[in-house]
Amino acid sequence: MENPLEQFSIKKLVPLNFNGIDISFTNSSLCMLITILFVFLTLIFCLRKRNIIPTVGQAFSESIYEFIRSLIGETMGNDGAKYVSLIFTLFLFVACGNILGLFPYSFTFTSHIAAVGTLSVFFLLLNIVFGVKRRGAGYLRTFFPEGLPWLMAPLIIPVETLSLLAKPFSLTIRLAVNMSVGHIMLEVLGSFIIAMHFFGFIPLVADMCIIMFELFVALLQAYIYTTLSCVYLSQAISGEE
Amino acid sequence: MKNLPEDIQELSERIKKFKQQKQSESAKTSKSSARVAIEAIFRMATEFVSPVIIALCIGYVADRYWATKPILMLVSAIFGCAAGMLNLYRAAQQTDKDINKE
Repeated sequence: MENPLEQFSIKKLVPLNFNGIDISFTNSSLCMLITILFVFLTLIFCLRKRNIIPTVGQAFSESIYEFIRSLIGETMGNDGAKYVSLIFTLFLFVACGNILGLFPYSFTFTSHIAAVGTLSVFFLLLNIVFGVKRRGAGYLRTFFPEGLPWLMAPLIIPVETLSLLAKPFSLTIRLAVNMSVGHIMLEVLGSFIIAMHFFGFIPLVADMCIIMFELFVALLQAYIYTTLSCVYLSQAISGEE
Repeated sequence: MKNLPEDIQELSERIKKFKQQKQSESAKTSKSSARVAIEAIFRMATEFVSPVIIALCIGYVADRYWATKPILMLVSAIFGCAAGMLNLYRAAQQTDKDINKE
């Protein structure tokens, strides 16, 4: 049986080196690029004719946009209107990355802690920037909430700092683990199809069911990632916990 | 003036409409509740563990740097657990708020 973790191995396609730092173009980078191009071209194609009575393509892209807008409205209220494009981009990138990873010979970059972690850390930094921009020095209250006695500072500040640092970590682990587990299951069941000879149809049917389930998980995880990013952004700009 | 049977018919139609409206509203609420539940399930699972892991990593690196093995790691693990509990409490509060909003 093949190693089910081999599908996650990074392969260098174009080796590049900058001052001793490996910045090679890998299969993961290629899949990210394909995802971005896919989203970009699909939206251009769907919105090539913009009418008051929408075509199927226009209605499809507008419904995704409306979904994200309502999601932001639920979590951030009226303050969230200016972050719609950011969250919309984030959702499409993660969702399409998850779905494209299900295709044969593709690569699921969202199963890699490095790729998702970078995205989450970037989002945490954006949260801090937006928080400081909105609340100024009041953002420091995140680490020491108002109304607490100063004697509690040595206890509360490390706890709040850890709580903040854990946000991108929990986002990353949730997405990467969920995507990896599904792909490992598919690979293991796939290897049984040939090994079981005549009875190979049993794992084949199971594999087909799991692929359908994985499609659902791919969208669900993108939704969870986006919702929690919205919640964290809302906490950063409003100061409410 | 309308006669009685017509009034009753109109009233029954209004009641029917109201019932339909109520049904569609309750369907919407249950869908939203499912969304809230799914969010909560996936959130709670990692909300406690992640600060503990982060704290352990920081403690491990600090211990190696200052050669204080394993004091800083133990201290940071305590802070990590506290941060995890705080995160869980906040996540539960958020879920409660979402449920009450519906």
